[in-house]
Amino acid sequence: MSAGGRPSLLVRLRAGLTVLAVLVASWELLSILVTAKGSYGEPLVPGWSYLVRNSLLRMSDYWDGSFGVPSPANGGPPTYAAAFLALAEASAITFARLILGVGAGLIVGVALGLVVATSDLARRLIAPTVHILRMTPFLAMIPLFNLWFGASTVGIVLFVAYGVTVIMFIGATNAATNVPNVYFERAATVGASRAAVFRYILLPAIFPEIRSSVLLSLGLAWSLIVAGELLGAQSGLGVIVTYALQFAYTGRVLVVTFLIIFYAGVSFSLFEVISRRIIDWHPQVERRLR
Amino acid sequence: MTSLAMNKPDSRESSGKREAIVSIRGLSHSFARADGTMVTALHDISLDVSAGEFVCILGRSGHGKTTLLNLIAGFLPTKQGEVRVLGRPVVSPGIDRGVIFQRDAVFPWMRVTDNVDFGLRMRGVKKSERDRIVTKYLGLVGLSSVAKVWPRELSGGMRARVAIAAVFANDPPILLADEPFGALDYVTRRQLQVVLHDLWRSTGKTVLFVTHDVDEAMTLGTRVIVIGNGAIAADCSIDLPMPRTDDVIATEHGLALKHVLLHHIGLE
Repeated sequence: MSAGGRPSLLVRLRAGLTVLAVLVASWELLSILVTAKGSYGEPLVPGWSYLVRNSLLRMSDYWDGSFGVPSPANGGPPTYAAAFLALAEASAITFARLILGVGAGLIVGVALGLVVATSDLARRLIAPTVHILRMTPFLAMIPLFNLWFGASTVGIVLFVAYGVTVIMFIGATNAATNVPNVYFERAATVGASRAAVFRYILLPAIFPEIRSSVLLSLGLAWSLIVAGELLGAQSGLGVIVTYALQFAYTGRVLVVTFLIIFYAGVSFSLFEVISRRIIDWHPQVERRLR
Repeated sequence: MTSLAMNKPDSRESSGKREAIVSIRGLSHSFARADGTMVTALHDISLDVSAGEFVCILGRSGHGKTTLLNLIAGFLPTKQGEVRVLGRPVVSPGIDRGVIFQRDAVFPWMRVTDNVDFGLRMRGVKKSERDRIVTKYLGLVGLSSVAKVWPRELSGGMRARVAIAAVFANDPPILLADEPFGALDYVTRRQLQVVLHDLWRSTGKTVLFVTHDVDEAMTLGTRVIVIGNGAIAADCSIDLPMPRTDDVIATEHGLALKHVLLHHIGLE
C-alpha cells in the first residue's frame, strides 16, 4: 500500500468482496446445474434459497421445546425461532468447550515452554516428550481420547487443550530463547525475583513472537473441536452435523459449516484487536488497519 | 537542554585516602574459543577504587575492558583472583551495583516512567515514594515531558537518558557503565556526558565507566585506568578542574595528561 492517503474501508475491501460475490453467485449457478440428490432426497448442492428456507428452518429439529418455543421433535411446526435457539444452544456449548480448551492449552503450553526455555533440568525432562507429541498427528489421538474420556465434554476440552498446548509450547520455547540477554542482566542488577522476571520480562518480551502461535492454535482449536464433537458428543455444533450426515442433509451440514467459518473469523479478528492493544509498544506494530 | 541544578560544591578533589569500595586482587580471566583454544582476556589485574571516584577504564576494543566490568557486575563468574565490592566477594549481580549497558536495555514494553520505576518496584518501595523518585530523576535527565511515552518513540539519546534515570532512581552506591554513549552522535554524546557527570557530582556515587575514547575519559574521570592486552597499562589521576570544558583540557597540564593517555593506549 502506498504511503499516501489511506483509501476508505470499502475501497480496500472491494477486491475481496467482489471475489466473494462471484463465489456466492457461482454456488447458486452450480446448484441449478447439479441436480443430484442424496439418499434421502436432499439436493447435494443446495441453492441459497433452499439453505435458508429449508436447511436453516429445519435446524428447529434440534430444539427441545424449552422456553415455550415449540419444537418439531414434540410435534410442533418448524419455526425460525426454534432454529435460532437450537443453533444458539449448540454454539454456546461448543464455545464453552473451545474457550476452556484454548485457555487451558495457552496457559499450560506457554508455562511449559517458558520453564523449558529457562531451566536446563526442565528441558532435559520435558522437551523430548513434547517433541514426540508434536510430531504425532492430532487427529490420530482422537480415538485415544475417545477411549479414555468417552464422548464427554471433558474429553473434548482436553483434546483441544492438548493440541493448543503442543503448538504454544513450541512457540513459547522459541520466543523465549530469542529474548536478548541484556534484559535479564538488567533485571538481575535490580534484584528481580524469578517470578518477577517471568511476569515483567519474559511474558511481555515473547508476546509479539507467540502471537502467530496463538493464531495458529486458534485455527487448530476450531478443527479439533469439530472433530472431537463429530465423534459421538451429545451436544454442540458437531452433533448437529453428525445427525445431518446420517440423513445426508447436505444443506444442514453447510449451514453449520458457514456458522463455524463465521465464528472462526470473528475469533481471529477479536484476537487481532486485543493483541494489537497489548503490543502497542512494539516498534514493528503494523499500523495499517488502525 | 541539560543544565542540571548543581548546588553541592565538589569536595572530591581534596579527598584523602579512603577505604576501597571496589577491590580487585590478581584477577585473570580467559575464554574458550569455539575451536577449544583459550584466549586470555584479563591478566593479573589488581585495583582499588575509593568511594566517590569516577574511574574511566580506557582501552581499545577487545582488550578486556568489558570483561573487567562484567566480572565486577557479577555477569561473569570469577575464576582466578578476587573481586570485592563493599568488602564482600562478588558472586552475582546485586542491587549495590547499577549498570548502564552498552546495548539498549530499556524495556520496550514499558513506558518511560515504568522503566525508571522498575528497580524501585522490584525492591518493594512504596508507591508514593516511587512516584516521587521517578518524577525527580525524569526531571534531572530532562525527560519529564515524555514520561508516558513508549521507548520506541524516543531517539537513541533519549533512551540513554532513560537508562541513566533508571539507574540513579535505584540509588546503588556503585555505578558501572559500559560504553553507554558509544553508539550516539557526537553532540548527543557530549550532552549525555554532562547529564551523567552532573548526576555523579550531586549524588557522590562511585562510577566505573568503560570507554575507548580518550577525550571522553578526560572529560569524565577523576582517574583513568588504561587497559592494554588484558593488563593495567597505566593508572592516572586526572587532577583537572571541573567541569572539564574543552578549555580545561586544552591547558598545558591537560594536554600533557592527554599525551600520557595516548601513549599508553598505543598511539604515540
